[in-house]
Amino acid sequence: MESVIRAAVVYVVLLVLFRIAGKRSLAEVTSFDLVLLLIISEATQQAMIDNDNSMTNALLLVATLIGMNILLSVATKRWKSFDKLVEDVPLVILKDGAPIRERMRKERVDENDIMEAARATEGLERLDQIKYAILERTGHITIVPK
Amino acid sequence: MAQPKRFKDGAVDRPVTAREASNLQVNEDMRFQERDWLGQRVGWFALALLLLAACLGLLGSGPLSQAERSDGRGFTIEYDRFVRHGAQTSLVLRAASHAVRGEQARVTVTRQFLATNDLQRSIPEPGAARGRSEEVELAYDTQPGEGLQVRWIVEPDELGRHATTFRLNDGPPVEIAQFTYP
Repeated sequence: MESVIRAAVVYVVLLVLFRIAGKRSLAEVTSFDLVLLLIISEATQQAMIDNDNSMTNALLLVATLIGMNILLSVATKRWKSFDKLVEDVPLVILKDGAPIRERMRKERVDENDIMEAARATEGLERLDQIKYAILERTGHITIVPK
Repeated sequence: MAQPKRFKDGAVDRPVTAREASNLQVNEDMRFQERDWLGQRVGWFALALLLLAACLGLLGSGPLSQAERSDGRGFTIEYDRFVRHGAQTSLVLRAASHAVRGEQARVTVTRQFLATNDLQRSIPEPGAARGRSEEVELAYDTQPGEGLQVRWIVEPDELGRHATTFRLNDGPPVEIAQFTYP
């Protein structure tokens, strides 16, 4: 029972922490973010395993984590408001070449981030070639060219 | 929807109208988004408070966790108020020379303490241990005219608040309380 509780608590705490961190927290995995991810996994691993190195424990932990994920996906499909709470909502951050700065400030993205996405996905050269830039729930910026 | 914000350089944000958003088929929800931003800021604040509390020792060892209790007759116990399940912590039992009479110092501790903590090591080791119904008595050899200092390495086993009573020889009881975090 303890392993199930441990894994469930770690799952929920990580969900809340990453939600607090915002859309962009780990969307673009830089080399340092990768290191950060590894450290986080190492730290949580200790809390979940707690001296019990048995196969049963490992299987239970994996089963709990995957079970929580299934549960969450079912719940987010059923309840729209829960979906928003857990998965966030997309946000238009640029319209007709004009950045909506207040929104960008609150999401901590800048014009360079938008241009980076525009170059990478659409091969655009300037902001005014963009009709809409949308900060998606995953933290990625998608571009609708003019 | 919030008023468009004017910036120092005169630029104004043009918000996305509902029609534009629906043309785009973007599932934007500014009411939720505003609350979400607020929630995130509250979350940051809570996170900062949590880390501050941890640094101060409210979640484990630290300045606010260190405590000392004495029986008023030269027997003191140094301990941590806040400990963590499965993480080693130590207690230092100190007796002044005048508090130790004879060649043995008998330290009595409530049995509950040994049930909720794993006493891993005592430095020095006690010469003898004797169990009673509610207490356990540990006898440490001492040199005449010298005091006693014992360090216990313990690993808390049970969550929550636990009170423990210590006694040196037949002296008055010293009660300490510890809180064990998961």
